[in-house]
Amino acid sequence: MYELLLFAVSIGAGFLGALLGLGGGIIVVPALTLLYNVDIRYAIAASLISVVATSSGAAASYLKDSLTNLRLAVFLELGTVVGAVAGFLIASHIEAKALYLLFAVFLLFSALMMLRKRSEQPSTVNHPWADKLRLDSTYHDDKGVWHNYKVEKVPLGLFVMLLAGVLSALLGIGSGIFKVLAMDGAMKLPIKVSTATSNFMIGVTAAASASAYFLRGDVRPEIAAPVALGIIAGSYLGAKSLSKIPAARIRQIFVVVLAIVSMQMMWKGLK
Amino acid sequence: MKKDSELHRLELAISHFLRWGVLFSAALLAVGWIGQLLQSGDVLANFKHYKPEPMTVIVAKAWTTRDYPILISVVGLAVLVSLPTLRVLLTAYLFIRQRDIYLAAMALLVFAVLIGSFFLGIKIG
Repeated sequence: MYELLLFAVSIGAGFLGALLGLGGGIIVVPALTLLYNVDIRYAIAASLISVVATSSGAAASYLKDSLTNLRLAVFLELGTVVGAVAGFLIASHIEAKALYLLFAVFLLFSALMMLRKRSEQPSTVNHPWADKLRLDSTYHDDKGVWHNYKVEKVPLGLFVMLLAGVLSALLGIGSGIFKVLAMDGAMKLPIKVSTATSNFMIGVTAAASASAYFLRGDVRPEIAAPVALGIIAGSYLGAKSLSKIPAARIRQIFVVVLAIVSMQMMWKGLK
Repeated sequence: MKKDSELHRLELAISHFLRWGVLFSAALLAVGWIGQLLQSGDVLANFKHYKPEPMTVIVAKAWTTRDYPILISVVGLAVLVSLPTLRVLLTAYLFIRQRDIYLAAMALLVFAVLIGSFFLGIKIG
């Protein structure tokens, strides 16, 4: 019965994730630890598996739409995978209490970021690295018109990706919030491109630590199988109903839920 | 201004690979999980406390007790985890085809780190 409920919760997590543009990790880890009292290490490992599942599915769609900047993604993945390996090593030496507290801070930060309105400030100049590696590209808008874009502050972007990788491995998240922050905030990419490129990279970031957790035995098939299945089904349903559901209102409710769950995680960490 | 057609074709190939890979692993996970439910029922309560146990031991135990649902689930999870790694390898191939040395080298480096992380999991486990 509990496993069936976990499957249902994971469908909900995938659904909400697709609707709000979040990975499932932000919902899966609190659900497993607070509702099922599963140890946070197992929860983080199962969550990373679900992140790989949703990101691989989403990446397929984004590639098809020609929005992903593949060259930039490969370059930035260098930062995220190195960060993820470092995060895995840090997580091996950190107490569960600290993970709860860190997760609580991440939830609060995510709530704040969800309130932020993303603005587009396209750049007209490339950073020298972007010139050398030809990281600038083109994308099409909703009307099908193609636009050129340039890429700024590449080293800063790479550094933020490194941190995003560390947090992904530590907390079992895709770190999409940090990736998007670096890409449209610092590197000045168009919003559509940074969202697509971030989603494309999330799978590789999560896989870097998920594979290590998997072989270490933290990815328990008894937990990860229903969670991954539920997330895959939920995100498919979420993507299908994207245009029929008032995502803005759900986002406002979700911000409040995140703040409450953050307090609960903090409480659990301090107990 | 449209994207290079060869690049786009290869992007589509990667897209198909990812989509089918997720579906294949989901099928394995579904069979494995339903089998687990029928065989063992609810086992979530066993994971309230962290007990380190390497995947090799989990698989060996399942193999000796003929716990096929767990074995199928493990294969499904392994396929899922391997998808991004193989995707990176495909991307490296794409850049090699385009004779883009820098990007190909970077993709291969990302691939090497991903493979390294597998070994790290075995070593620390």
